[in-house]
Amino acid sequence: MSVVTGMAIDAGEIKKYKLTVEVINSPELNQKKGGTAAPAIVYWREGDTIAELAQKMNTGMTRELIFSHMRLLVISLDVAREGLFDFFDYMERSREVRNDFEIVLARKSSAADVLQITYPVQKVPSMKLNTQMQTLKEEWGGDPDIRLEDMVISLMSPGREPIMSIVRIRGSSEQGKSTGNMEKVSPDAFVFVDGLGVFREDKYVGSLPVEDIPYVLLADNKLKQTVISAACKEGVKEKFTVDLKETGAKIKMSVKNDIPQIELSVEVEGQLDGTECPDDLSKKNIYQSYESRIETVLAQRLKSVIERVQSKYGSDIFGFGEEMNRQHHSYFKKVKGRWNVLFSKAAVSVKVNAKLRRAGLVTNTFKAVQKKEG
Amino acid sequence: MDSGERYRSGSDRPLTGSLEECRREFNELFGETKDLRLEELQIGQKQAMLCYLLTITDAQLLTQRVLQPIGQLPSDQSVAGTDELEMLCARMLGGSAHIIIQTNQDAVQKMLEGYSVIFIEGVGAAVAVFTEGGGQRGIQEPTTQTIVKGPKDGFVEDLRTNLSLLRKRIRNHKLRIETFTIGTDTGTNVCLVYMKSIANEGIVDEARKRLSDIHTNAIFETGNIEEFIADKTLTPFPTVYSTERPDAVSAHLVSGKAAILVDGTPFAITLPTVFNDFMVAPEDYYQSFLMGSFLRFIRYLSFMFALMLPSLYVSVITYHHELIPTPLLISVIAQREGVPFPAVVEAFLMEVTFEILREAGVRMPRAVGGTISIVGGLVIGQAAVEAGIISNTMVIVVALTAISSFVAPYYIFSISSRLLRFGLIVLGGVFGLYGVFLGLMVMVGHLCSLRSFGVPYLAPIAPFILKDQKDIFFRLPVWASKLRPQMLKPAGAVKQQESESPSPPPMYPSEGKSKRKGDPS
Repeated sequence: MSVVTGMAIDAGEIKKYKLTVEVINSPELNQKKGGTAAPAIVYWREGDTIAELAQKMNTGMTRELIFSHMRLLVISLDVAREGLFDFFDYMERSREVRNDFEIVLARKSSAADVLQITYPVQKVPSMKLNTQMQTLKEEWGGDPDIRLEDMVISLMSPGREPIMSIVRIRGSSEQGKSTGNMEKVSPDAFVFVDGLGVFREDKYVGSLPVEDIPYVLLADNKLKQTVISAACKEGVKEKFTVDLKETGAKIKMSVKNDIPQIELSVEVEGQLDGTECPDDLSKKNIYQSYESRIETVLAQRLKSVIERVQSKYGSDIFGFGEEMNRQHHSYFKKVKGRWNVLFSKAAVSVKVNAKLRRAGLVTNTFKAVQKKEG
Repeated sequence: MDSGERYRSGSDRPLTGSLEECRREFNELFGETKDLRLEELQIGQKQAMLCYLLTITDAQLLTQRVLQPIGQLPSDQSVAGTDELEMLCARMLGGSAHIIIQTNQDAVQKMLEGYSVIFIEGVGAAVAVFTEGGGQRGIQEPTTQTIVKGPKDGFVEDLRTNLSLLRKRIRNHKLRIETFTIGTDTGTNVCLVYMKSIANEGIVDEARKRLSDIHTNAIFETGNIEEFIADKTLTPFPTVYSTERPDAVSAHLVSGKAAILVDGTPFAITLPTVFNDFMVAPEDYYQSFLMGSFLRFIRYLSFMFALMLPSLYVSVITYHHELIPTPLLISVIAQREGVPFPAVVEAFLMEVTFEILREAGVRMPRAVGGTISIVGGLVIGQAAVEAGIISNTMVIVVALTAISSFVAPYYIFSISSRLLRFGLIVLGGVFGLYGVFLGLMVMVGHLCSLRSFGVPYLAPIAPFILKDQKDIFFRLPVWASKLRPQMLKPAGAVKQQESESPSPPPMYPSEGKSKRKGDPS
């Protein structure tokens, strides 16, 4: 049997879809016997439905394919623009396909290419990308961690629109496909996370830069941890950086004159990661001023992200509609057909309560000590 | 208590007192056998004859108990009739086991049991003195049920020694020993041992009845008895417990079970037996109850491993890949790459190989013992994997299964998991996990239907008996279980009424600052 670890869906040239599957070359992954041969094998075929194509893959591959260990689904932007409804039913219905694989969009290359860029450590491309996204989510909050189930829920819910990470290939995708890519200290091609795809219904409408992803997650109360930098004082160039370890967001919805009011109150708790300023960190008021700096900056960024989504895409990717449904059910029932329109008009206010708890291994920065001692 | 149909050899007429007649009859019965001794004696004024079988007689005992007392008799001692003989015996043989017999038939039987029989001219009775001897093994550590902490003595082949081991452990007048002679050809002594007014009368009666009903020619081991008295059911699970540890038998006796000991084997059986008995080692009670409980858990786990592991592996690898974490699946598949057989064939191959090795290991003469481990280890462990016939994972699975099957404190119990394992592998290979669990359901159903001397085999779990749970999956401290196992419906239910572990005394008890609960004021 062959284990399928990744699938890529592109628009076909003749038929509707081009499905690419990646199966692992398992002996190559054996710790003892593994060598330098290709860690995975990729095969594609065009057809009109994904369900049919998945069964037809043995036209080119030898063994029975097992889909239960699929780690990654890459969708090209072309297909995403056309809509996802058509093949998500297959994914959900299939007995074998699990619902815990990563779903990403491929920008500036075909989805199939993403499945073929090798990497020296985790040799199988889709497993590399899966781990990469997981770690990114844990460490920085850079991935919305969208699984099949989340997709289906947000596709169905009138108060939420789907999002999906976008990946891109840096470097030469042709060279990245060879095993030679695994032998270099600086591989010829890298797959990296490049942004967040915004959907409306099941169709891709645009993207947000990768820097915005933690704030999108924070507004949805799904952020685990992230890092934020702010200028030490208003108008100063030097910055300090804080690791936000605990984050939480509460959303209060209300309606005024048929305009939804979104009150977002965020609580964050963090530790100082580094500072460029010679402030005396043994003083309480410095901590307090840092806290208020974080509050200002965070509120600003949250607000800007939400407003940008409102004006540019008019698509409620934060799930405010769901919150409205919970808090003002009868109102939401009336407006759920035009919720996205209301969302784009909604008034947003953000309140942040930041707490700076710790400062790493040293209490004071050497800059401050230097300054004190003259 | 004779089973009845043995030795209709020798006449059952009362003895006439004619030595010639006796001699003739013995020579006729025993024929030319070399170990028959018929020796002339003089007792007082009378001619007498000492008869015994040299091979089972202890010469020293014979001298001490028979020849010396006779030699000390005054030369004018008169032994005229049966009454006088009895009086003489009481005086002369006091302290030695002896019995007055009336018929030739009894005399023959006593001789076969190791007695020496003295006939006196003109007296219509004879006296048999116990002088049994012959080779026997000393008491040694049991070889099949070893423990680290606890008594190290084990039963031997001699029934009297075995009974003495029990008597010494249970110094209680309630310990009853009943003897049966079973086997028309061997006439083996079989003892039923139980605690009067502790064991359930019904169970003892049933055991007694079943023992009396045995009609066979030979008994050499408790295993022979076992098949005669076990309930008539086709089952791989043993329904009696057989052990060579006197401490285990004693523990069973005081918990209300009966034991059967057979002359000529170091294995005793106790009954009735429930499933949980096989998960209990005597050592559980000799070490901390925490450890005892933990080890029970390990034993149940190993039983499940020994039973199911290969079949689970086969079904997961063949049908349920989604149950294995991806990295593990990849490594398993990578190993299986190039293995020419499907997993079920592979599992069968390995299990059968292991069973062959195991049987060879048991039967082989000790001197060539080293060979099996080298050949077995190399053949299974290395060569087969390197030749690509089987995968590494399969070796791990089979090895873990094998090790698990040895955990059972009672060796014979592992036959059930050994046999059922093969059935489950086939079910797993054909139907996947569905098949394995169907098989398990049938097995549990079968276990529920079993009875051992009327006690449900799965008691006290099914039927559930709350009071017995203190010593099933967990062993609670000894003081905590106050009752004997209720599943056995013992005649005396209470084991220890007011048992409690002491609370700690004040730090320096002599100063007596604080009083504990229950201290005499």
